[in-house]
Amino acid sequence: MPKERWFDEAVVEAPKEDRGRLRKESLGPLPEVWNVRELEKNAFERESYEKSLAALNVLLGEIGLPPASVSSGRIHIVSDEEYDRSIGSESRGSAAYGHGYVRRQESKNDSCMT
Amino acid sequence: MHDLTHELSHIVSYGALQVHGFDKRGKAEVHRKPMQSGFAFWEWSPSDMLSKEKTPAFAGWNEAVTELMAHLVRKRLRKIGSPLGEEEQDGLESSFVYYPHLMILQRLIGECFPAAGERDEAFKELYRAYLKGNYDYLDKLDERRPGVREILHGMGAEFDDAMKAMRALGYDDLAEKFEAAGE
Repeated sequence: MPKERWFDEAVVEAPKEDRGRLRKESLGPLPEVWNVRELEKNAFERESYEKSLAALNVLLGEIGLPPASVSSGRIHIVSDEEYDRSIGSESRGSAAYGHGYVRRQESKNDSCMT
Repeated sequence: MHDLTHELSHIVSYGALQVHGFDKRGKAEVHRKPMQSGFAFWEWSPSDMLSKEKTPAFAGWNEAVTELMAHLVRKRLRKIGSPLGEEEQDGLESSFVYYPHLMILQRLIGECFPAAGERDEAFKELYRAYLKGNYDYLDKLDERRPGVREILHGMGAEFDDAMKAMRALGYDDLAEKFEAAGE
């Protein structure tokens, strides 16, 4: 059986007779489909990503799942202007094809709704 | 941090296979598995994932579980050494997005799994199902509360979608509370 979990590479699950006919572009790294002009992560954003991933992996361990591997390259920090232009003005954050997009925050705590 | 933890939960739940195949004539392209992220899936084609017009199935349910996961991650940040100050961390842990959807989730699971021990396990199973893209969980909910699967299938991620789902589930008191408070 093919693996069902994957992160930086696609794992193809298809009937055996079809595998030889699959398009090559179905394989390989996850595409960054929005083509955003991302900002270089600052020290706080780097730490936030690292700590959030570590906290997530603590949670995964508690529910009996192996740790997740999410490279920092799949988290894109974007200016408001670029976010509105490339992704849309309606959302605060977005995820597509295994990539995540968040707006750069002026304050450290971007909490909003309660 | 709030948005980052939410999107990170979406990322790890993204287990879709972008499989392209061909029909028996070797011509038309078919998608053997829908694009999936957590419980949400795009029923027609991968490009729907980027469409503003098309809503995935289980969109609102998926956001509720995503936010619940993100909330648990935020709480664990404190344990491992949050980059936020005490006050900011308190704010992070006490704020939510998709709050009406989250309230539906909590009430529904509480109803379907009323015993405390059973409920704890039900939540763990929910997270595992979300991360593995397993829909059996929804069938289990449907067994205990017939019709739920269909309601959650159609519940979008907007406020009004959650209100509609609350009414369909008989959670009128909850809907009235949110409607009185406004979006």
